[in-house]
Amino acid sequence: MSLYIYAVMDSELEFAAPLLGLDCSPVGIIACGGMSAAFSNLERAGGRLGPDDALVHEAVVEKLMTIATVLPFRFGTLFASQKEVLIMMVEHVTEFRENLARLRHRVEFSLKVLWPAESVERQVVQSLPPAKSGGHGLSNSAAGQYMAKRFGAFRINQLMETEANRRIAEIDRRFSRWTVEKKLERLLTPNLLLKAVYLVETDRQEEFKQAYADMQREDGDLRYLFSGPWPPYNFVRMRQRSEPQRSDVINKPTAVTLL
Amino acid sequence: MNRIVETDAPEAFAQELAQVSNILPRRIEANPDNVDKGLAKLVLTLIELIRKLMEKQAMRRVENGSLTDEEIERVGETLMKLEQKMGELKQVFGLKDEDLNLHLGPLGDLM
Repeated sequence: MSLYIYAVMDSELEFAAPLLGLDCSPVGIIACGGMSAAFSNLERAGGRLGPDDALVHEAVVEKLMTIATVLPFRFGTLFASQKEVLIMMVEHVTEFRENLARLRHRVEFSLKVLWPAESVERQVVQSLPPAKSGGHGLSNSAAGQYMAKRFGAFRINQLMETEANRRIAEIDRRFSRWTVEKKLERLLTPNLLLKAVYLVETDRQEEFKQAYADMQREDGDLRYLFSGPWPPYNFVRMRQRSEPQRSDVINKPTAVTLL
Repeated sequence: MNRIVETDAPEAFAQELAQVSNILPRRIEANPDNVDKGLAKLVLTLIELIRKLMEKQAMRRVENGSLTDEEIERVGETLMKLEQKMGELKQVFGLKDEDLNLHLGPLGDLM
């Protein structure tokens, strides 16, 4: 049997109503220094977890979030015993406290934005001045032609990046006012202009949602995927440790890794 | 909790996000059956990275006008031959352009 960990939270109180976790096992807490780790027992041959389990994990973390500030653990985090969980909590107590203090009364929102990369590129190409023969010292030899072709692609790429940055700044500007922290990733695929997560004060989330609603109402060629509020999955900061983790912790790579 | 999950293009997002999650293997596949290909993939990925950096630098210098005509000719020939050679090697090892990348965990993708 293993202990499946859902989150660490800033409460040591037992749940008022029963909460069920993976395999419908009751979720309990292991208290330590004003905090607790929410866990349930997991008895499964091979310990394999699937997509349905991920949904249960998420549902439990969300439920915990209504009770206390939570630091969600990575899906699939297992420990061998309550003692090992306690050791982990003691080792990380300062980081947990820092994170809990920073994330208290804050929630995460996610925004993904698609842009029509092909049509934007066509517009960019049309905006380019016609290439002059022999411009930039590019000759008509095979090597010169190759360089001319690559230089054209380079210029288009530069202009696409400029346009992407302009649009991302415009989107981000709408949300910055309501945002405590943010993480932006640009152009993970040619069409995925922006993948962003924002940390928002709980009592500012209505304004944040309104900012999205206003943006979404405007005409344009962007498509949005907006969701939240979520537990602050992307804003827990844990220091990287170079020393190996304890040898008797099951599933070492994820044993003390928060999302 | 009043959770919102809202989109005007669910299928398009599903497609793009599947690309993001499947774009790269999480580790180099090297086992007794495919060790040649695994190593070739790693080596060619690094060469491709260097090639792209060289090309980008060359383009910047072309743009700034800091290369002579002769230098542009020479750089062009080098890059062209390197690209051809990379194409041949990719063919030999059955690799595609999208195979030449590495996921570097929290650092993101190599290219």
